[in-house]
Amino acid sequence: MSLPESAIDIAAAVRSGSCTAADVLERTLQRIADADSRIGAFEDVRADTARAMATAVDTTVASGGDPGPLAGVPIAIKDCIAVAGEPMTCGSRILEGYVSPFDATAIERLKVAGAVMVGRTRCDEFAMGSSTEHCANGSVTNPWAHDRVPGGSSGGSAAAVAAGMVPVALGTDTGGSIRQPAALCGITGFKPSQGRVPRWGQVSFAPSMDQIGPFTRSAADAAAVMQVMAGEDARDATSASTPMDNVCLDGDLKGMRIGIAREHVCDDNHPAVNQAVQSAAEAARALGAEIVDVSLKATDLGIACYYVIGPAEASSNLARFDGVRYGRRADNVTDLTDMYERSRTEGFGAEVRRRIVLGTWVLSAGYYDAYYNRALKVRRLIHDEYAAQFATVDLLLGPTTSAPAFKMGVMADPVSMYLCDRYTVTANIAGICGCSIPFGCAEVDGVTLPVGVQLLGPVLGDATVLRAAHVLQCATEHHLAVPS
Amino acid sequence: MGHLSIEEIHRVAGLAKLKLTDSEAAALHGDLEAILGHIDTLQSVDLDGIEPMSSPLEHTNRVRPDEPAAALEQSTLLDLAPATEGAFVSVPRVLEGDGG
Repeated sequence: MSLPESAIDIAAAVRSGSCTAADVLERTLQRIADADSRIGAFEDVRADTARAMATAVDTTVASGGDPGPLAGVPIAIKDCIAVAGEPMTCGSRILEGYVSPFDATAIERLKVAGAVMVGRTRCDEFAMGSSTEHCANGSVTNPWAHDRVPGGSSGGSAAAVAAGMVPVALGTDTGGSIRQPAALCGITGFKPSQGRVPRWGQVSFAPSMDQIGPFTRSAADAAAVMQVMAGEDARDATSASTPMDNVCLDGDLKGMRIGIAREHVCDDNHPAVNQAVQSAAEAARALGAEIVDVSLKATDLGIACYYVIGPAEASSNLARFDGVRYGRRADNVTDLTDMYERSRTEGFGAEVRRRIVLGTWVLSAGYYDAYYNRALKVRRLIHDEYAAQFATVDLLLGPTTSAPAFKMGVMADPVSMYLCDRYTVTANIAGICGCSIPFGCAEVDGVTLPVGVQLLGPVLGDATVLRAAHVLQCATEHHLAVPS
Repeated sequence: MGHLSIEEIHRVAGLAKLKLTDSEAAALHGDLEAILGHIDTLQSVDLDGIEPMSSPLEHTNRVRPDEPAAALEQSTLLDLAPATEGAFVSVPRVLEGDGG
C-alpha cells in the first residue's frame, strides 16, 4: 500500500490506523537522504527525536486516544524558530552552539497536534535575504534547477517541500520570505496577518512585520497547519485576540470581488508572470468571481519604506546578541567594549552588519525625522491604501515576484536583491495576509521554472485567502507540478 | 551629493558595537549610498497631516494577569552563557582596581 502524500491525508490515515506515523517518517527520512545532498535544504535532521515523536503518536492511536489533527505529519522548521532541546543558529555564526531551552508557541501547538519535527532548514542569516545564499552554514539550491536560488530567506523550507522531502515546512515572512521562495520553488506559501501566529520563540528581526507561516503543496494543507498555529498567546502581547475562522474547503468564488492592481501587471515583469496572473484571473472568473481593475500607487514606495523600518527594528532587536548571555563570544578580548565589538563583528555576516548600520543611522539624532519618522508616515499611506481597496474588493490578485528563480551569484548588489521583494513587502508593512500559489511555468534558458501569483486579503482575512486559494487549486493543476 | 561619509559609517558602527576595517567601511559606504539613493524616493512624498504608524496592529498596552508562573531554571540559563562564575554570567572587568 502506498502512503498518503498530503498533510491532511497523512493525518487522516494515521488517525484511522490505516498507516503509522513511523512509516510516514521513515519515508520522509529516506527522501531526505536521497535528495538533500544536491539541495542542502536541511542544516540538521534529527532522526532519533523524530522517531520518538512518531512512536508517541502511534502509541496514542493504538491506545484509543486522540493523537491530534496533524497526527504523524512530518514538518521541517526554519532555523530561526525555537524548538526545545534543539540547536538554533538563524544561519549565523553568532549563535554557534546555541541550544534552545524552550519551544516557540507555534512549535508547542504543532507538537500537541501530533506533528513530527524532522529537522531544521537553512535560511539567510537572521532571515535577511531573498536567495538563501547568505547563510553561515551553506546555501540551498532550487529543486527545479540546481544552479538557481530557491528564493529566501526561508529557502531551505521551500526547497524541502518542493523536492517532496516533507509535506509541510515552517518559514517566517518579514518582507516576503515565505511567499517569494514559495513562488520560486512552485509551492504554496502563506503569510498570516500580523498577530495571527504568536511570535513567541520566533527570533525577532522586525517584530512589527515578522510572521511564522507554512509551506505546503496545497492551500488546504496550509489551512490545516494554520488552524493549529493561529490564536492569541499571553506571551506575545501583539498576538491577535480575534480567533481565526475555520477555513471552509468547498464551494466556489461566486459573489467574490477580486481586484488586480494595474501597476503590478507591467512590462517590468517576465511575460510568464503576467500570463500567470491573467490565467489565475480567468480561473477565478470561471468560478464565479468578479475581477475588477484597481490602482495601488503607494505600493511603489514599499521597498524604500521597508528598508528604513526593517533595518531600524533589526538594529534594535539584534542588540541582544552581545556575547554576554548566550551565543558566541570572541576569544582573547581585552575589555568589555572589545568583547562586544569583536563578538558582534565576527559573529554577524555582511548583510546583517549592513542592515544594523543602516538601521542605527536612520534612528540616530538628526536623521530620525528625515528617514524613520517619514517611513512610518508612508507606512500609514500604504496601510490606508490597502484598507480603502478592501472596502470594495474581497481579495487582491497579483504577481508574487517579477520573475522566476535567478541564478546563484548574480544578485551581487544589495538594491537589486531588495527589489526582488517589491510585490511582497507591502503586505508586511500594512499587516495584511497573503498566499502565494504556483500558477504556471516559464521557460528560461531551456529550463522550466515555476511562477507564482499571490492572493492578498485584509487584516485577519486569513480564512478567506486560504479558501480562495484552495478553490482555485481544486479547479486547476498548477500546484501539482513537481520538478523532474 | 553623498548621504554619509566613511567617518560617519565608523561612528555609527561604533554606536551599534561593530568594528569595521577601512576596506569594510568603504564597501559598506558604496552599498549604503545605493540603498539610500533608492530610499530618497520617500523624500518627495507629500505627508502633510499623516500620522506615523509604528505598527499595523491597533491594540496597544495589553497586559496579562500579574500571576506567578513557571519560568526557566537559573541553571538552564547559565548553561547558555559563554562564561559564568557561580550563579553569575561573567564578563571582562568593567571597573578599574580591585573592585572591592
